[in-house]
Amino acid sequence: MTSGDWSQVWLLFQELRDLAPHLHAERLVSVDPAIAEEVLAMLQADKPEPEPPAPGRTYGRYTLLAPLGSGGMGDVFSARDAELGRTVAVKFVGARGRILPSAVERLIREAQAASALNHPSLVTVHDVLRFDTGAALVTELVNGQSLRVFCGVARPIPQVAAWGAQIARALAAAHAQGIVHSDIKPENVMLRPDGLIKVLDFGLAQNAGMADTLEHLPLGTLGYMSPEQLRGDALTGASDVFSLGATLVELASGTHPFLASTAGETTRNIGQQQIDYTPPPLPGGKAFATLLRAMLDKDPARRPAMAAVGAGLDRIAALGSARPRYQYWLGAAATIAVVSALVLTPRTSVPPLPRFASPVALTKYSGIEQQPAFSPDGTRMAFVWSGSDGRQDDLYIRSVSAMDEPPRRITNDANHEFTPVWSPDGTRLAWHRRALDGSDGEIWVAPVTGLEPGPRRMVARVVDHTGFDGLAWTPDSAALLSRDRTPHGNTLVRIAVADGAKTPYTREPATNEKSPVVSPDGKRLLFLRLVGNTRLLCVVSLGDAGAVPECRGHQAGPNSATWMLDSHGILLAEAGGLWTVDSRALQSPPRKVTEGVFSNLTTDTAGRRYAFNRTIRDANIWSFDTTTGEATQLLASSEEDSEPHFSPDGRQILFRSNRSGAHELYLCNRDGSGLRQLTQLGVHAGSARFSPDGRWIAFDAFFDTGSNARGPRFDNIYVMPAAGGSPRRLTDDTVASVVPNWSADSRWIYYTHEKSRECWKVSLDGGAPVRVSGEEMWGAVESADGQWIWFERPSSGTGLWRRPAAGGTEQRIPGTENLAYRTWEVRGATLAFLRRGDHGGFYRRSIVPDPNGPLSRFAPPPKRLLHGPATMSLSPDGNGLLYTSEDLTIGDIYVLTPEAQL
Amino acid sequence: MPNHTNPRLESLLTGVQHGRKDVADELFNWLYPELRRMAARHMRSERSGHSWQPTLLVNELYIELLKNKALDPSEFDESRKAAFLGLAGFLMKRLLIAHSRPLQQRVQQVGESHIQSLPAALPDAESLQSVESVLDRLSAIDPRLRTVVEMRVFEGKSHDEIAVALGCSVRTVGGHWSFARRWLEKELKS
Repeated sequence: MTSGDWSQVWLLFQELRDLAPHLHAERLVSVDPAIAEEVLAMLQADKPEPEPPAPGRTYGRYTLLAPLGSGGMGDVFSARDAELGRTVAVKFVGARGRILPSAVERLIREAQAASALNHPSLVTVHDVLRFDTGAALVTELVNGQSLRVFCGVARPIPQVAAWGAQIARALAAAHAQGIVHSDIKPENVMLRPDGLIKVLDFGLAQNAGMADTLEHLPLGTLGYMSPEQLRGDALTGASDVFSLGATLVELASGTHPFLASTAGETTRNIGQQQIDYTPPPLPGGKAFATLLRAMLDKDPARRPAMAAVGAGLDRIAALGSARPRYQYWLGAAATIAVVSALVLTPRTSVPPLPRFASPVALTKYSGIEQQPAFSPDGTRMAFVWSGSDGRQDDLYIRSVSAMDEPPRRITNDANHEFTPVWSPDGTRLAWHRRALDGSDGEIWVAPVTGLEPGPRRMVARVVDHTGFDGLAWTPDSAALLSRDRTPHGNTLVRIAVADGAKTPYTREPATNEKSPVVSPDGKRLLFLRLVGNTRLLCVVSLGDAGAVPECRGHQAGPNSATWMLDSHGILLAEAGGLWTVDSRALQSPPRKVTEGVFSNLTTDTAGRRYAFNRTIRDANIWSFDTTTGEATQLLASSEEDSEPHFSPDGRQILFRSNRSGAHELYLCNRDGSGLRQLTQLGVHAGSARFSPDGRWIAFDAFFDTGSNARGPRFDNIYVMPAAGGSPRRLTDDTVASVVPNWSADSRWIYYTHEKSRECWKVSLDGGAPVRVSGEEMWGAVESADGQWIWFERPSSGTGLWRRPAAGGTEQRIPGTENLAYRTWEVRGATLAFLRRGDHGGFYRRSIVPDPNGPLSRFAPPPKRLLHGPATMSLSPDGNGLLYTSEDLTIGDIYVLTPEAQL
Repeated sequence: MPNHTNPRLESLLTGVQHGRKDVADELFNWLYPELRRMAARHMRSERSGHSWQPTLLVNELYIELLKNKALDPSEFDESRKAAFLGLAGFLMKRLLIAHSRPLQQRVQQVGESHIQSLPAALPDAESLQSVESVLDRLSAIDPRLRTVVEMRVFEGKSHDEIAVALGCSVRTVGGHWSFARRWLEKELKS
């Protein structure tokens, strides 16, 4: 057809669309048959397309209220049943064309069959809606939290067993009717506020038909599949027994038994790996572990039946709760507090979603601007800026409207400043400052008149290993709320500004809290609480001393939250966008406001708007070939890859990365291929070094106390086989021990006490550590001949030093004055290091026999060296250099204005 | 330190250039909202005529990314620019194809991932021109057909929203879409 033909089709189509169908043929008699045919085909196809489900849309007697989530099969909404006047859940299946219509039908049949069992823990199906493109299941709406919220931290066995027993009894009832759930995982089990378990989503995984290959399944689903399910065998109830076993191990131990970073590895673990679960020495612990191992038997025929599992778990639950220990009661109490706070407030109307104009940049300086805070009168803003060279975070203030004026610098020191916040009376600014020794934080306050800061004063010190997130004034401007190390974990404390006196603000055990924000009306406080890897949003009344925070969880959890201007709504930054939730109905699902990335949300009460910052920071390991002078990026990831270290044979590269969310150790081949994850500790691991014989890897790691109340409290030194395996702790957790390195014979590990800077060493075979030096020795490593210890002393001196291993006088190495922090290496007979400033670049020299020989510059300095983590390694053949470069850093502050004001 | 989020742009582009097909989807997820944002800005500044002009739009996006350093200017040469433009064009074309497919057919495309599958050879800047040319030909039949397609496919607007923007009835928008979809289906097949 020509363009002209198509024009004719278009005209005829428009004309005939408004005519009754019986008149069509008559009108087309005189038209070219090809064109007439096309017009008729067009008219045939001209049917209104269904719009995707959205709140407010009505399907029969059901009006959608709010999205509850979306699964692989489709979206789930809460909805109002007009006829019976109740709230229900509507789950759309197949609407996205993901599964075959026949599978949809089978799925509906199984859900109905499970519902027909009338078991209290199985969700009741009220109705089925069918459309051209799929169907929707109308079920009872379960108010509560998915068990996912309780994962990530070891839960007490009696509690896990009691939950498991309820799940098992429900599944046993289904199995008796030949119905297999096939997708048991924490997400699909809900815990109601009254303690009743509800099992969701019957038959979904099985009926998905497994059309996709396993690689395309989300790991979250894959990780709970039974070995036979992975093989694609026909499933029996034994498959659910396995999946329930994996779920219970995760709840009881805090970590998933099989999950690895790739689908292939996870699959392999499920098929081969025995679980590594040691129960705490408590009544029922052993029986629990034995039952779990039986449930997770690779052979389905050898697993216990679901009914037997239920009976066994019931016994364990009863045993364990008979003689509880204090520590476990604390854990249980915390859970009860969370659970009892889950009472869903019924909502009759849904307030309109806030609408915002596109964000407008408020700062456009080079470097990173972040953590905006507005003065109560709305005229001034304080923020953190890295300076145009991006090197040092300091505090600045500016008149909000003075876009083009340079900001006024409030702090100017080597420390990094964070989280400025104005006192409600507008007279003072408070902020966090990282202490020079790098570990603790300080809280400072300065009066500010206009843009003029007065003398500043330190109010208190707080311990905050994981970074400074949030500081808030109490409404009376007399005290501050900050995270601090307390007997309960890293919880919020109230610090009086006058004398620095601290009182614990929250007392939930084993928690980690941050980002306190007081509502504009001064009545309530919101903060984020981390329990394991789950972030909860909590709200508590400020006036009432005994008030228990009400918390809600969400799959990913918010990164940042602030109050809306009405002091009821809360804006959340999470999951790629901005969401809102009403603090008066905290358990109702958050609603999405807009897409985008938002960090450090804050409210400008006087200006009736909000602000946030957007920061992009990507650190990568680069490989520099000294023979060709070419630098290439070793691995692509958008997160921090750092601390590269060549293996002694030069064939492997050890590094750390937070690509999984936590800082874990990874290994890859020299060309970047063969990437594999070495540790899966969910911790902050780093400083990893191969032993000179290549058999071991030493590293330091810090467990967040929030994730494991019974875990180590300090940074410790660990060692693990280079071939992979379980790490072993070498230090006794009495003091923060960091930056391990090896003796020449691979038998001792040197390390430094982070606070005192003393250097110690500990034998690989165990035994008490030995003090090497009472003076500062940082990154100490033995030379290849074992005669010398090389080290730096960043707190007490410049450059690189060495000292005889047997003791003696320390000597500074000439030419190393401008050494970049932790960016040096002694390997074999070569010293290599990065020099900053003039003539900057990578230098090396032979150190045997004379350590002071001529230096040669062999590589240019990186464009932007990542500050902090040890950042270079030279290959044994001297041809390859690895360093970490911060490849991308952009950070600006934006304002978000509600549309009604425009 | 607070959380930093990253569009992974630079490394995604490198990945695509090195033939990693799995990252195209991710790049697309990033690119689509950016293009929508750019288009919305055009809408505001040019009230009279609404047209996407894919080549101009993507070029402008590319320059903006260089300017605000979301892409590293020093990493960029002509071949990298061509890769960026080509990918944008390719993704636009996949969008057109995905939307032009009749509903029934879409339902039956079980397991087919319609966006992720990159062609064997990296698309070059010409794929962008082919999208432009398809839209031009549609525009020759009726400029409003093109507008409806742009709003629906690229901007993800509903018929209700399009009707408000164009000042016509939802039914009229439906007619335009019916015609354009079938036309696109035939045009893109050949």
